[in-house]
Amino acid sequence: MVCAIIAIALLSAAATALAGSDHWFSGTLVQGYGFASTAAHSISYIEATGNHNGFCVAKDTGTTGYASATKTTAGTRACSSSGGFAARVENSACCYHGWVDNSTSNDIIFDASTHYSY
Amino acid sequence: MRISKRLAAVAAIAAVSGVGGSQLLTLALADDPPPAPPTSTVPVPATHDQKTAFAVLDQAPSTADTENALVTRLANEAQRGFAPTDARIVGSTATGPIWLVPANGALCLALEDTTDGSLGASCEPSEAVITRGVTVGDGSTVYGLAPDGVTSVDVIDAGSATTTIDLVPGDSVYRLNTGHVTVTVDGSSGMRSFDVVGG
Repeated sequence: MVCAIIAIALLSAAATALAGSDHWFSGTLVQGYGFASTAAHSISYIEATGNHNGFCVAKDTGTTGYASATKTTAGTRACSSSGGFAARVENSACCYHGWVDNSTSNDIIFDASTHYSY
Repeated sequence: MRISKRLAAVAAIAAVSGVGGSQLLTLALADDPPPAPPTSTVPVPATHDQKTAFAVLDQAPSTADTENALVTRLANEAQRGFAPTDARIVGSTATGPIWLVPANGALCLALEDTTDGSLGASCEPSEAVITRGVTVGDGSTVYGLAPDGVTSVDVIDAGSATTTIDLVPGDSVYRLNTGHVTVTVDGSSGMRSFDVVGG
C-alpha cells in the first residue's frame, strides 16, 4: 500500500515536471506573417489575445519563427474573426510548435498572455 | 496600404467635424476589439441577459450538450470562467458541433473537431454579443451566431456589395467565406454593424 502511494506520488511529480507553458510570442505581428515557437511539445492548449481581429492560432510542424500567414498548418486554426481572443484545445499529440498568424491588412499587437500549454 | 472601413469612417468624421490628431488617435484606438475574458478559477454561469438573447442557454441540456468533455478541458486550461455545463450546441460543421459557451463576462463560439479531438473558440464581451452575436473562424470559413429573433444578416464586402443571408428558424448560424466584410444585424437591440475578418 505504501509503495503504491509512493509510486502515485512519483508519477504525479513527474507529470507536473513535464507540464508547462510557453509564451512564444508577444508584440507586433506584421500583416501577412505568422510566427511559430522555437520549442515543440505535446500541446494541450493554445491562447492568444490581439488588438485587432482576424488572427488565428494553431499547432504546427516544420520551421520555427516567421513564415507566411497563409501557410498550411498541422492543426485546424481557431480565429478571432470579430473579437480579440482566440483559444484552442488540442489533443496533446507529440510534437508541435505553437503558431499565431495575421493574414489581415493591419499589423496586430499581441499581449503577453499569448501562450500554449503542454 | 489598405485602411479599415471603420478607420476610414473615423477619418471622415474627423475631417468634417474638425477633430484633432490626438482625438483622432483616441477614436481609432476605440476601434480596437475588446480584451479577453478576465481570469476566473470558477465557471461563470450564463446571465439573465445572455439567456434572454439566446434562449438555448435557458433550456435544459440535451444528451449531446452533456457530451462536453472538450469544452470542460477548455474551461480547465483557460481559467477564464468558461461554464461547460451551461454550454449548448447551436449548430454543426462537417467535423463536429458548434458550441455557444458562457465565460467570465463573455460569450464564446467554439468549433469542435471530432476527427482529431480538438476545439477552437473565439470570445467577445457579453454586452456586444447579446446585441449582434459572435463569430469564430477556422481559417477558411467564419461561423457567426445571431441573437434570437434575427431573421437575416447583411454582409457588405470590400467592394460595397451587400449580400443578405436569411437565417432558418431554429438555426441562427451563418457562414462567411470572404476576407474582410461588415456584418449588419437588425435585432431586438436595434441595428448593429461590425467588421469580420477571415475566411
